[in-house]
Amino acid sequence: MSQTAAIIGVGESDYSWASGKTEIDMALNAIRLAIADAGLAASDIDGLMRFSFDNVAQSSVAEALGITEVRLALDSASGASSAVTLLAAAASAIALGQAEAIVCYRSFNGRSMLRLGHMPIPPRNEEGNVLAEGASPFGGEFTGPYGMAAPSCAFGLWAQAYMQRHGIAEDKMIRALGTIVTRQRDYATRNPNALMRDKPMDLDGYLKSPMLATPLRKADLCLESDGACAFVVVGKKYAQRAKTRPVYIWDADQCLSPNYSNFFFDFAELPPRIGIGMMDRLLCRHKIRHDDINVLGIYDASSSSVLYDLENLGFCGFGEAVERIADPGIAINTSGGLLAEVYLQGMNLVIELVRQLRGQAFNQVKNARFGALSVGGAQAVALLSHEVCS
Amino acid sequence: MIIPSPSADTKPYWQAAAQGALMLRFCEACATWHHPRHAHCICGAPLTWRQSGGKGALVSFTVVHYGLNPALAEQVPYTITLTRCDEGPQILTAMPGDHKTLRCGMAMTVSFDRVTPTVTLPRFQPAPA
Repeated sequence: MSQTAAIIGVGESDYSWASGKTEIDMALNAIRLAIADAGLAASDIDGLMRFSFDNVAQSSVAEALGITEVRLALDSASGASSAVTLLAAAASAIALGQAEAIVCYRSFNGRSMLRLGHMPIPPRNEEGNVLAEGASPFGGEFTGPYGMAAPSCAFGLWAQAYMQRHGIAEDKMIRALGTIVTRQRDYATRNPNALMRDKPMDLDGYLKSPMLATPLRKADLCLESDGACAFVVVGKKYAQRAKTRPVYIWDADQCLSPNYSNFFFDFAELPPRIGIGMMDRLLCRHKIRHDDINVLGIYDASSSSVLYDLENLGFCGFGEAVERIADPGIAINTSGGLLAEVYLQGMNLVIELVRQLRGQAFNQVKNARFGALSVGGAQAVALLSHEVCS
Repeated sequence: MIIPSPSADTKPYWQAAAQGALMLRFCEACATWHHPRHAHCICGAPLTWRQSGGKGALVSFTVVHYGLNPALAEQVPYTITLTRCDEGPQILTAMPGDHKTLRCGMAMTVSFDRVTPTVTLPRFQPAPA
């Protein structure tokens, strides 16, 4: 990948539990803010990229913003890995000259419209029984009758297997998970847009959080929330005259597992060890080390995801993250993440890395130079820096 | 009660369960076992149904304490189990109640639970010692 592409604008809608807005309204709000942050006009935008399951079409965005010529409109079909897919696609398109200023966005009424943490209520038959049909991993024919209704249940299976495999006592696991949750809740108290900004949690509070799927509590699972995120990716021409400090996309790599989007829990090893060595290879290409990364965004669908990703990315050995998390030596999910800021499927983590690398974060890491993003359970990683890639 | 709504493709699985048999899919071309949700092998051949011995090892489990929809609220707590059949495929079932003393790796055996006059669910549970 050519490393001339940079993020020069970011935008967020208000995050809420009930937006009272349509997803296109929230998307346009975030996109307009991102374009303004970049110092561009809507007419400068010639590329639009989104998650394939976003309900807001590129054509609708273009029409609403008065963009008459869209040179590139793409969807990422990588599910939870899409934030990195979009970074990679945007950087590639810039390098190939397919577009000069690309907006990537995600808008989701994930609380007021579609709650992914709950099983939708399917039709009932004449006897009043609920019918589970299709091959869905949650609420499908082979899962729904057994109460396998949401990702939280799969994360419970992973966590039990993880403890058993590595001989981790339950109290040690709970302490590690509690450390992650309370730390991200603390970060959120200083982020004015974080949904849990008024909900700090100490370890006692964490232990009082209701058990959902052992050993995971409600506080271990990501939020169900409404909101939208957008960022603007450009090439050298716009980066040089940006009014913000450009954040360069040094690299992005993916190793997608089909099981992840099909039968979530059906891996031979749980938690799944995906993309092993991918981060090492990525860092090697740029002659930097894990230690050089100052800030990390991890797709924290569950607090436990942070443990597994640290291991899958090579920040520590398998089974070691429960110890390492007490003092990881790297700042993780400093906006509050999906656990405490908003559930925008990693797009909010991109925005937080940009804030960090600009030096404008609410929980600023001193002299942050490299930020890394890991999404979809370490299926996809990206490396960002405010320095131009050498 | 949440009951399966089979497709034409998966009907034999549930019909066999009602007769007390756990069926898996099998590829005659490459002699490999597959999960019942698959209709075709990765080699391209259509899969046939073949009876499992109904024994396996527990891969993992989780005790669910929270009703993830109204139909489940009356069923908590229940324990979801993932069992690797001796033939290879991993089958997810559940047991009513809180079984936090299960151990990953333990021997499991299938039984059949007639939940309505027409629906029988295979359920794995710890094998008798």
